Amino acid sequence: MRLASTRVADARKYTLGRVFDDVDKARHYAASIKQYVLDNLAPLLTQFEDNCRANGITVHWASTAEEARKIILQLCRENSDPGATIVKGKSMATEEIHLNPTLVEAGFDVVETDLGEFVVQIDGDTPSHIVAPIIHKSRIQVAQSFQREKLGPYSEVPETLAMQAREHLRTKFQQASIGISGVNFGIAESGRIVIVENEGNNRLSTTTPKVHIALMGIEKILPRESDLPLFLRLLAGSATGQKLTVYTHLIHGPRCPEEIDGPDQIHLVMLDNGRTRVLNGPYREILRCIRCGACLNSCPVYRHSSGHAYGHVYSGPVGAVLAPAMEGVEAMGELAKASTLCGSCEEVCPVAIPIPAMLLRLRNEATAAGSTNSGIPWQVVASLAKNDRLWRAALILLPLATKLPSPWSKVRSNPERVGRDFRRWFRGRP
Amino acid sequence: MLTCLCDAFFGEVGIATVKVLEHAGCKVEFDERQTCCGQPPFNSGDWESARKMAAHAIEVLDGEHPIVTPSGSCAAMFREGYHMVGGLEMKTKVYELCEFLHQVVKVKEWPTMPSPRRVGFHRSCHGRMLGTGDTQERILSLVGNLTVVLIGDSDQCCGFGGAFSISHSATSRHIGLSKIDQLVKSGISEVVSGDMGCLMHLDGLAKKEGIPLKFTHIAEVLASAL
Amino acid sequence: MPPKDIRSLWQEFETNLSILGGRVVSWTDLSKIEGRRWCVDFRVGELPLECGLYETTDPWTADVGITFGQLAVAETGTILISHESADRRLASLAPPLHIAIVRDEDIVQALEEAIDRLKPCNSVLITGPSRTADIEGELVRGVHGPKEIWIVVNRT
Repeated sequence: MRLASTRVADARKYTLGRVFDDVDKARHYAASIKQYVLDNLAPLLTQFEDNCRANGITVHWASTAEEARKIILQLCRENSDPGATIVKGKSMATEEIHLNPTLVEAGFDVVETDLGEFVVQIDGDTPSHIVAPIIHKSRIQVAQSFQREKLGPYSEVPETLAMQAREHLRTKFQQASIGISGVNFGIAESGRIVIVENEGNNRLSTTTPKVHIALMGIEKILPRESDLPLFLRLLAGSATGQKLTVYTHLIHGPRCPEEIDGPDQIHLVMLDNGRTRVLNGPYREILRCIRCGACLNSCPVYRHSSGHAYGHVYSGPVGAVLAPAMEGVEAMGELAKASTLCGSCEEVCPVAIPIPAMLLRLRNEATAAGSTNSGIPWQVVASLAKNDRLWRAALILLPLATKLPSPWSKVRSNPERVGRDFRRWFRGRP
Repeated sequence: MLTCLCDAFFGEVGIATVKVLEHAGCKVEFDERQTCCGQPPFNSGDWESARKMAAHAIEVLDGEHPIVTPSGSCAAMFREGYHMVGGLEMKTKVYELCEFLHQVVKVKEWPTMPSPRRVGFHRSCHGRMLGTGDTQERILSLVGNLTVVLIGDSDQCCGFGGAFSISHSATSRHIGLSKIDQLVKSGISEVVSGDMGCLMHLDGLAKKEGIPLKFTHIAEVLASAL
Repeated sequence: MPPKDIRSLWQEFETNLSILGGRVVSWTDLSKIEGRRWCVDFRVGELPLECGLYETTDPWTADVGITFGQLAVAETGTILISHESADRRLASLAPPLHIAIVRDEDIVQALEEAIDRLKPCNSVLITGPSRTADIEGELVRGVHGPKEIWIVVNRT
């Protein structure tokens, strides 16, 4: 998995370097646009909603995950028969609100259509990466899963496996009454919904069924259509090292009477689920995130553990901030410690989010709230530090203290005093 | 600024730093009252304790002369950390050693090693964040008879991360061993870096695994040519 | 725009599309496709296409889908399709081969210019054939969308 992350990280550097004359300038310009959105979110959302409505899209608002599930379930019930097929495009927002179990319990045949998400679904697993959901699985594992589900004769060749999935899912696309997707960007000035993808399953999911339900985090707004090219390039380049994703849907509204295909209805569910709270707090910049996954690919901690180790739908550096920011440090503050603060994430982030600084702030918030403990009595250390003689005495004892077993000594040998003592040497000079 | 790590364990690095600065033509003062910049509690999240330690450091060190320290992470604490914690005003600038030699003293040459030496280089993350670019490599390149090998990933984190090395010691070890693996594969037997945190962590891992790699601080390398 | 510029734009377009596995073909190439079922956008049916294809209105069983493209973007090898009036969206999506007909003069260099020309209707930017690298990072084309995409430059 480490190799896969490294490969994508390299592809990102190569492509962005060729697409932009000055990658940093592009990132910071994108950051300023996203910051503008956050600073003017309410009026932009109003503008966006008005335009969506004018285009024939029905807009719903959900403050919590539960509300969002309720709304979507209701829409599904109203627009299909019991047991109907629902096809889904890849969407982190739908994972965030844990949508699938609700729909499955209500008797719907929910089908993930993105190849990686499809594998995750048939395995009863969870995705381990924002962009590459089965980066943790081998072809053999996928082959075994497909054989188990009787999708075709056993094969470990990715192309064969992909074609087996394609055949299976094509039937589902044709049967489906409802298509559910996420949204990458919502353009305020035109009410356009933008969805990017490489496979084509999102296009199919949002074209063949009669009803399209789109779930969108309220922060996913862009002010103008002219902002799109920059973000499309940054997203594709940062996520997969591509110049552009294969498909960029620019959805305007449901189909007009003369159109032969397309959904009759589009329902847009705007999701808050803690975003407003984050917006009004000290970690608001994390809402600039465009879900490219570049931070995950560059993070030494992520590369050496995996998305599942974070225990949250959003993993990696972005998750380490987003999870506690949305759910509180009491619940998720420990994630902020899962970082060496090396700064690679901030360096690769297409919208220049200052993740390390936010992680430090989260650590402080958790400490002040008493919800975390580093195991070292810093207040005592701080009092010692004010008096250099006490400090020196403590330092002499330190090498002795390290002889005791500790998390340090379990994996490393302890540091030892080597050579001369500096102070004595300095004092002893002529 | 000596740094608490050098104060506790690595006096030789402090000594080397003074010798290097004096060779570069500086008069070096050391205020005995200094203790710690406050980075460890800051990193852990106890900003109250960090503020107390920082206040003391400012009281002792702030003055008319620039401050030099053989640590990118200490310098970063003074320059960025204090700003984040708030309420801490430091007028004097704190420089990491090579940064100072390059930007202020503008060192253009350095003596030659007594015998040829080949070392690998690891750039600490704080060193990167100070925005000093390849300053450390430049200074090292001035030393005669010294070959500095940049391993492909010399910019990648070593896995120390301060509190992280203890709170997530298994992952910290994993990351560090991966780095050591690369170093060993490049045929290097000695590694140079500008931060004792990184060196202490990598050295500790290597010793535990029985890998014969030597870890040296930049100041010591520079001093050994004098 | 002097013809020379358009030619170099199409050159750039072709280079970028080929890297992704797409092709720029001529009308004569089309006439060589024999015995395959095609499914078209309504308006395409009005073009005097001389080829060995026979028509179907079912995009799911068609071998080829033919549509118009509003314009081509040289920078990335992208085409913009705007679904106006009686267009059939699935023609560019369901069949394994998608052929898009773009007028010679409808080419721009940069993505910005394409976005500038967006119409107030459902549209899609298509950059090469459908692809995935979900399984062990190995590239597979034609997972859901077309495996092949051909562009015909319509010079009348």
